Amino acid sequence: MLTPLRSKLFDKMVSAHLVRPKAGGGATTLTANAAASATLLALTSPTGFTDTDPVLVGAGEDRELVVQTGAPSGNNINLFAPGLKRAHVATEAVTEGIAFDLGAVSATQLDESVESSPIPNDNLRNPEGTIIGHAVLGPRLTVQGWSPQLFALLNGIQLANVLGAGTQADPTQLHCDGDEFGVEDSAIVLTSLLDDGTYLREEFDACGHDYTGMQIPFGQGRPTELVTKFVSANNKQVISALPSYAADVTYRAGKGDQLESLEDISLLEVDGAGFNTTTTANIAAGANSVTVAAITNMAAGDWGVIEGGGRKQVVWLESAVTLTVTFRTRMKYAFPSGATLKELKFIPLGGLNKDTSLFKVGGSVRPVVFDNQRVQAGVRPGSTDFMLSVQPTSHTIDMLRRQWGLPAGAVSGNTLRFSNLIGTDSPIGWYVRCTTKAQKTAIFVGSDCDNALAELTRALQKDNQQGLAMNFRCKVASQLKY
Amino acid sequence: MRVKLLKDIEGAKAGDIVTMAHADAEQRIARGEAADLGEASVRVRFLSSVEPTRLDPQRYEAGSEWIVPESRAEELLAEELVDLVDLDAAPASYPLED
Repeated sequence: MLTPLRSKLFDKMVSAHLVRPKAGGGATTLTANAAASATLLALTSPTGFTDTDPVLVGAGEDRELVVQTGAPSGNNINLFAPGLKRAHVATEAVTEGIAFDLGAVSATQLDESVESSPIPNDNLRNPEGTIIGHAVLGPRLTVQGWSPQLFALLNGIQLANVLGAGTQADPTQLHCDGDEFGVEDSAIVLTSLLDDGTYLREEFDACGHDYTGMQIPFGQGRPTELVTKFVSANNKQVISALPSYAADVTYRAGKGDQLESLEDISLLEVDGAGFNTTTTANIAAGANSVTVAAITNMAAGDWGVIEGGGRKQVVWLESAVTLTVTFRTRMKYAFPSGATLKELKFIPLGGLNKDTSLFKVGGSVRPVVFDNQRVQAGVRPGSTDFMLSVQPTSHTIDMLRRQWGLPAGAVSGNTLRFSNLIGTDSPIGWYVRCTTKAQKTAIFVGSDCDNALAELTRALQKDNQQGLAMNFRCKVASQLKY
Repeated sequence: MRVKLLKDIEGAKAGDIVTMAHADAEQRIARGEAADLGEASVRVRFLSSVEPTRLDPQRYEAGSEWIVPESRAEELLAEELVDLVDLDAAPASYPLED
């Protein structure tokens, strides 16, 4: 029936799930070809596969989501209808999945489109018809809340990159240099409730992550919204039913995950009066302690910078005992013996202009389009670009110097001179501390910074609260929560 | 139509696999009371090659074996394009009550 039915109006979104391979879960291959719509998979090994598991069949752009029903029977598993969306052949991968409930989402938008061009005809005023081109399938999700795990899930970052125990001594932490973004494709499942109490489920397979619109706003009273655009590499399926798997709610965003209060934004620079030593052993990526030549001036809670092997990372000290330093932050990279470890001091940025304090992920992703396939084959991650953007309103000589990345020598008395030294003196890092609505501490740190000096506009008008726009690009962006 | 109950209904419990009238099953599936199990699948061997179509872009080579839905197998058998393969890797073997 095509008559509009009020009973089928969209009522509300019920859930947004992101499905990925389950760490340590079942992982095997097909032993027999399976056609589209088949509801039986013959596996090399059914170990790990259980009733109502989400199951991912195939790899890369061909990976699709199905759901197992019942325990394995021998080496076979049965699937809920409608079964496979497309054919898969023997030896293709079959992986147990895990569906993460993303929790509170808002402004969910299906930015889907299909190219269509008119067919011109000089004999007619109207075009002859329409020719159809490529289609883009996928939702844009706005997730209300923040945690390192949510950030990872929404940016195609593997959860193995999230380390730590969630305590101050070992916060939950994610350190990114960009290589982690877009590594893990996801299936997205959106379920909506209609007015008559029935459901509509939209499944998007093998979604690439367009992370280039991702921002974390820090201002007071601004909803913490993580926005990602997903582009399915192969398929969309709409089913009038709830998902038949159970979702994992461990990382579900809730109101407690909102960054409610901005406590501190500072620039970090080397403290000449602080500790200054070298490591006496190699330190591995992911590790959090190292031996050093001296621990003079070190105290719990100090911040420092470790530099060696061409890399630099801001670190947070937990303890320094008999030449062994333990950090609260884990190492993003391995650092060699002989790396320098210097104390950092904070240059607080006060009076920040409203709604201007942001951590932004920029960069590029490239659409993958093939001549012989209608649906765009997802996106490939290109570059990333991590930026802290702030607008302190203090029009002081020192703040103007820092806005332009000028060295201290550019200031003479009460005069700041601009010169070829613009952009030559950037902070080592930046630091942002917030408290979440659930009274957790959230810390964001940028390591190895440069001033990004494009478009430093500043209106000199008496009735505005124009700040000094500052943008700091960093090589490593860290997120900590405890 | 075979469904797996997600909620208790008269005389049957959540988790039971039951057969019910198509219209009733569709209503229950849409309301989240049952999940569609669809039809069973069987294994067939293609006797001749089948070219891809827009609806099924897979090419099936002569001699290759595929697990296909039962209804598709019936179509292929009727056209004498396949043989049924009697292997241990038989179709659905969960405890059907119908």
